[in-house]
Order: sequence, then C-alpha cells, then structure tokens
Amino acid sequence: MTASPSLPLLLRVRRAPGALRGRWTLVLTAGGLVLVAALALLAPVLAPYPPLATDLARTLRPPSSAHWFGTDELGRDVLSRVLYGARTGPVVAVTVVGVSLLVGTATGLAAGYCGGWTDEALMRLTDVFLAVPALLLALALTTVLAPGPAGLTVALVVTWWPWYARLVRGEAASVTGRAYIEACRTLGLGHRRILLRHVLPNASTPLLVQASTDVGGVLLVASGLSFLGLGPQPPAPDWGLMVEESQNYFTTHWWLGTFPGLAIMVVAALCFLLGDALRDRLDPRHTPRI
Amino acid sequence: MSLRPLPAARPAHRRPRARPWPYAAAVAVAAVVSLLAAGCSGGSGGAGRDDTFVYLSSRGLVTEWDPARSYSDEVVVLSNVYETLTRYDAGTGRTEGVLATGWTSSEDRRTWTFTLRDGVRFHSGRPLTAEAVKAAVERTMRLKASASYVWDPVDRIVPLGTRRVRFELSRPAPLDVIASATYAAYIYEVRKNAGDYRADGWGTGPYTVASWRPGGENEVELTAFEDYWGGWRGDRYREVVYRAVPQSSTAAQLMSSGEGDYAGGLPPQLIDTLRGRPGVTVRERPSWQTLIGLLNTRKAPLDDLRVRRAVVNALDYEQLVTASRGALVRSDGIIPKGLLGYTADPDLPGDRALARKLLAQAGYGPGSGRTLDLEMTYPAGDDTIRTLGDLMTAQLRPLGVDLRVKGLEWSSAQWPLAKRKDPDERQDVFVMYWWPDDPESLSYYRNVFRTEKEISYNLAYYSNPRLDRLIDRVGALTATDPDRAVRTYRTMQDIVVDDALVLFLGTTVYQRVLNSDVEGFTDNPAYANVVFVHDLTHR
Repeated sequence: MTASPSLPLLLRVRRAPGALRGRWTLVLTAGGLVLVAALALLAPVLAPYPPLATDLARTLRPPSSAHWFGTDELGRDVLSRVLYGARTGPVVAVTVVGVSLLVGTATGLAAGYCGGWTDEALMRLTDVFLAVPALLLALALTTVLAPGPAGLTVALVVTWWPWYARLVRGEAASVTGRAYIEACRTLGLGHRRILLRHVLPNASTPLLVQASTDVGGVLLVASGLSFLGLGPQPPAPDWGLMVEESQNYFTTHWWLGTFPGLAIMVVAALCFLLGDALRDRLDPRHTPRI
Repeated sequence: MSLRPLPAARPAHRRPRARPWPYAAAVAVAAVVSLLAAGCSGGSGGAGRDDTFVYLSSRGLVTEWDPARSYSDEVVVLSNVYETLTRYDAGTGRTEGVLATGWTSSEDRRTWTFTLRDGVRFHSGRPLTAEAVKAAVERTMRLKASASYVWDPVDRIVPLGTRRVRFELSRPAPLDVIASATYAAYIYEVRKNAGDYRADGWGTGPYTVASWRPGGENEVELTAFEDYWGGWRGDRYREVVYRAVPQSSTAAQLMSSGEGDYAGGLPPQLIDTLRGRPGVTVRERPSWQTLIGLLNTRKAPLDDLRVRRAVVNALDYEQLVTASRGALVRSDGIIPKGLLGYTADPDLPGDRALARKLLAQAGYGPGSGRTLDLEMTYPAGDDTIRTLGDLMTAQLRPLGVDLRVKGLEWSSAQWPLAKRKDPDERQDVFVMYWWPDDPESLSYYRNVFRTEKEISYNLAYYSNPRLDRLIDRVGALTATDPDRAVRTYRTMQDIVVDDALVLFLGTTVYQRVLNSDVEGFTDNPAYANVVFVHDLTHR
C-alpha cells in the first residue's frame, strides 16, 4: 500500500479551506444584503431628516456629527437621501430580476419541455430581444416610456428576461430527455406536475446563481440610466440621480457623489459575491479556485 | 487652441546641404528651444493662444439660418455674420451707428432718415446700398416671422440715392432703437431662394460661415471676411468656433485648461471653482433676462384664478433666489431694471397664508383629501432651474401641491408639448427665460401675454382684450410720451399680477467665464449671450 492519500481525499483536503471561505463569503454577503434591505425598510425610522426637507441655511455642509454624510445644494441631508435611495435602485433591481425570472422561466420551461415548433418559436422570439444590445434597448424604452421607477423597471425587464429563458430552456431540455422524466410520463403524471416537481427543481441551481449575480448587474444599469435622467426624477432620492446631480460639485464638494456612489458599489459587489458564493455551494460542476 | 494648419515644412529640394551632425544638432536645439518656449507660454490651452475664439455653449445653437426668421439661440452666431443699422449700448442707454453712420428724425418721430456707412460690402462682394436696406427690411416685414413686428410702425421705405434711406412711419416710434433689435433687424442680401441662407453668410458682418455640423462638437466655424469695413488691424480673432459642450463640468475644465475662450452659462458652483484661477476671468453683471414660469390658463386646475393665485403665492421667491447661488436676483416686476417701463412692484406675490386660504376655497390643500397635481417643464440641461424645481417641489408639498418637474429638450420636447392642439395635453407650468427682442420693454408683454391666434410664446394661453389694447398703444407712447408709457406699463403689470399668469422666479445675473487673454469684452444685456467677436483682441 502506498502511504500517499488517494486523489479524491487530496482534492477534499485541498478544497476544504476554499469551501470554508465560500461559506463565510455566503454568510457575510447574504448578511450584508439583509442589512441593506433592513436599512431600506427602516429608512423612515433611521434617517435623521426627511429626504426632501430643504434647509437653505445649511447648504453644502461637509460631513459632520449633525450630518454624517454632509448636505447638498439645497441643504438636504445626504445620509437620509442615501438611506431612502435604498428603496428605489435596489428595489428596481430586485423587481426586474424577479419579474424577468418569472417570465424567462415560464418561457424557457415551455420551450425546453415541449420542444418542436414551440421551442423554435419561443427561442426565435428571445433571439429578437437578444439581437438588440441590452443597454441600447433599455435606453430606447426608457426614453419612450415615462421616466421614473416604473418605466425603468419595465424597460429593464424587457431586456433581461430572454437571458433567463435561454438558461432555463437549456436546463429543461437536458432534464426532459432523461429517463426519470420518461418514467414520470409513463406513470401518467401531468405536465404541470412534471414541470414543477421534476424539471424546474433541477434547473433552479444555475438560475438562482444567475439571479443573485444579476441583481448587482441590474442595479448598475438602473443607476446608469438614472444618471442619464431616465430613471426616477428629481427630487427623488435615487443613488444614480444623486451621483448625476453631484457632477458639478465633485471637485469642490466630494461627499455629494461619493456616498451614493459607494452605496451603488457596495450593494452591487455584495450581489456579485453572493452569486459567486452560491455557485461555489450549489453548483456541483463548478470547482472553486483554490 | 488652434484650428489653423501648421506651417508647411520647407520643401525638401530647397533644403540647404549641410554636414549631418551639425544639422542634427541644430534640429535638436530647435526642438528643445521650442519645447521650452511652449512651456513658458503659460501652459494653458495646449496649443497656446492664437486668433481662434472658442465659444462654449451648453447646447447646439443654430436651428434657423434665415436672418429674417431667426428667433432663438442662433443669434449668437448670426450677430457675427450679419449687422444692423444701429447697435444699442446698454451702458449709455444710447444707440450707436453700425451700418448707419448717422440718422435724423422729424419732430413727430414719424420720419427717419439714415445715412449709410461708406465702403461696406456684403460677403458676396456687392456694395451695401439704400436699395439693399429697403429690400432686406421689406422682406423681413413681409415674412412676418421672428420679431418682425418691431417694424410694424414702418409704412414706407424710400431710398434717397445710394447712401441714404428714409423710413416713413404710420405712428411715432424710436426707429433708431428698433433698428438695433437683436432679432429681425439684420441687413442682408435678399436671395430668391430662402435655402441659400442655410449655413451661408449673406450679410456684411466681420465673419462668414466656414462650416456647420449640426450635432457635431464644433457646431459652427466662422472665418474672417477679408473685405470687412471695420478692417482687421490689431490682434483680432480671425476664426470663431462655437463648440457644444452639454456637460457644465466639462465646459469648466475646458475653460480652466485654456481650450475655451468664453463660457456664458456655467452653474454658479462651477463659476466659484474658476474664480481666481490663473488664465481665467469671471465677469458678472445684471441682465435683462428674466426667468418666468407661465401658468396654463386653459387647463384645469390652473384655469381657476383662485388656484393660480394660490400657486404664485405659495412659493418663497427669496429662497429660490438664495438657492440659485448668485445666478439670479429677485424679480420685482415683469420688466427688468434698466429698461423703460421698469416699475418695482412691492405687492408681488409670496403670501403663503393667502395661498392656503385660496387653496381651501378651491377645494385643495392639506386636509382636503385632494392633491393638486401640476406638471412643470423647463429646458433640460439648465442646472439652475433644476435646483429651483427641487426647491419649489419641497415648498409646495406642505400645501398639498404635487409639483412634477420635467427637464425636456427645448426644441424636440418642451416646445412641441406646449403647442399640442389639445390644451389638456399641455404642461401646467412652462418655465423659460425671456429677454427683449429689441432694447425696449414691449416684447415682455407683446410676445408673452398678448392674445395669439396661433400660439407662439404666449404659453399662459392668455387672452385679455383690455391688455391687448394697452400693449398696442404703449409702443407709440414710448416715442412721444415716455412718462405715460411708464404708467401704461404699470397698469399692464397690475393686470398680469392680478390674473396670476406668471411665476417671477428671478432675473439672471450674467456670469461669464473668459480666457484672460481676451481683451475688449463688454457684456451687453441688449444682446443676450452674444459676443461680438470682432470687437475683441487677444494678447
């Protein structure tokens, strides 16, 4: 016998620290996002001032004990606006991903499970949407729709759902061809039951990973569109809009753009890290880098 | 910054023969010397100062090239291509000759005779004659576009030889002032085809149009007209570039790096950062440009006089001026200070208690359960108005008024929305700047509050026959009985204030950023945002 450990054992040993680190990443990022959600929910309680309250006697004050993040050109408290901002950008991002998941999953399941002309028709439809660059399509739609969180959400859903449809369709088609699905059919189970109990759960892991990462991506795009004036309108406390409004002040009053910019960065980073951690935990085909 | 081609290299066949090393050494020394010279030249502007004047604008300027039809921002360009008979000096309050060297009027101010400057040529090379003046003014009057109404008193134009022209008027009018108007007073060569004016100069001005790229970064480039009557002695700018820079912060950077010579509309916070910087000069002066919000009198809920009065009283105008950080001063009347008819009104609105009462009477306000929804539009890109809009929203909210402020692109969105056939589809409040068409006060009323069959600038959609009659009368009074004209203007202001047609948001303080190399700049509020580039020299 050889004294050296077997290959699987070696792999397990070498993967252990990574797995541990992955678990911590998952806990920390999920905890961070829960905290953001709590801040958004509790903004009316936590914000020291109303987000729209102006005070012309205290305009453009730097961060201080009275105004932790300083004040803007109308004397509005930047911290309060950043806290309330968590109720627009991230909410738009979660809504967009949620609705896109629903639409994309339904379309992808139908295409992958039914196959044939249904598959062809639905996938060509998604191709039509995917053929136009996502940002360009979102820009065009938000220009046509009334600027605001609702218009922004609709525009982003239209550009986002086809990616989920593609992803789910691939997974569903792969699962549908397997023996246990055939067995279900032979046993007389209905399509709905097969789809919801057997196909969808097997396609859900990559979907979950993708969705958690996408929340960060959508937040960045939504903030970008707000920056261009196509999202929530002034005087709404929105992170992208606040960064845009701070442009003319950036060299002289750094706090106006820095804090909402940091908020966007932190939430987006948390979402990306969560997606990575989820992939490490849930996707058996994915080997984390050691 | 330079757009001029670099001097051509000496032709190779004429290069003197020299031994290789001394020649290479000479080249190296020349290179070092020129680098040092560039470094010592102030370091601003990259390419250094030369005879190109770069005018930075926040948006594209030209929408109309026809000098008889122009009625918007392109005046900034056209005023350097076309000239008028006279020019108004807001500093002295007098007109000065441009294409006319002198003028006389009859005692009843109904006959005016102008003597034309000798040696003036159009860009085509043809000489300026009395016939040409008659043809240009008659075409402008015939087209009835832009501010052509300024010529309404003119009955007949009679050339007296080639260098004198007589204007016979139907009623007394200060024609020397009218002839200096910002719009519709250009003297130009009349072309059969109106399309000929497009991106081309048919005037007598110091510059001709070199290029026009709508939507391009350098939207318009002008070049010197060599036969200009004013000549080109001294360090005058021979090229003018109008550069569209939508981002104010970018414009400020271009100014501080010396790549721009003039930026006229930067927000105050950026102006503050440029103050005291080497190579940059900031000039400020009060203007005749007022910022007004016109209330839609044809659409609910502002068709109700009580609601209009409530809204105009609900705002704290002092706060708005404070929030503008020096870009505005308080408007104390419709006509700004410095113009005939200016009457400071101590009773301008701003009574919030009255606003609450009126809103309650109209069924709105806190506790009524009804929100007064209003949509206010303004030209997108104006940071001052946007800040004011945020503050107005905050001021109105406690009174149960939900003001939605929309920055819309002027020509493609804000303007068309205001002209929709159905009044219910139009905005509730239209915010714009107004400055006079000529150095008179009439346009503050005639264009904005006089009844219009087809809506142009009367964006309160207001009609009042009594006010119309006063407007029609006050022009002649200005020429014959200025005191009575002032009293009439006061009555007109009372009507507009009583009917609560307008939000007096402020009067602009011109804040201009200039390259320190520019000399001879005078800000003339009679020609809003115009820089007469030929008047300038550079160091």
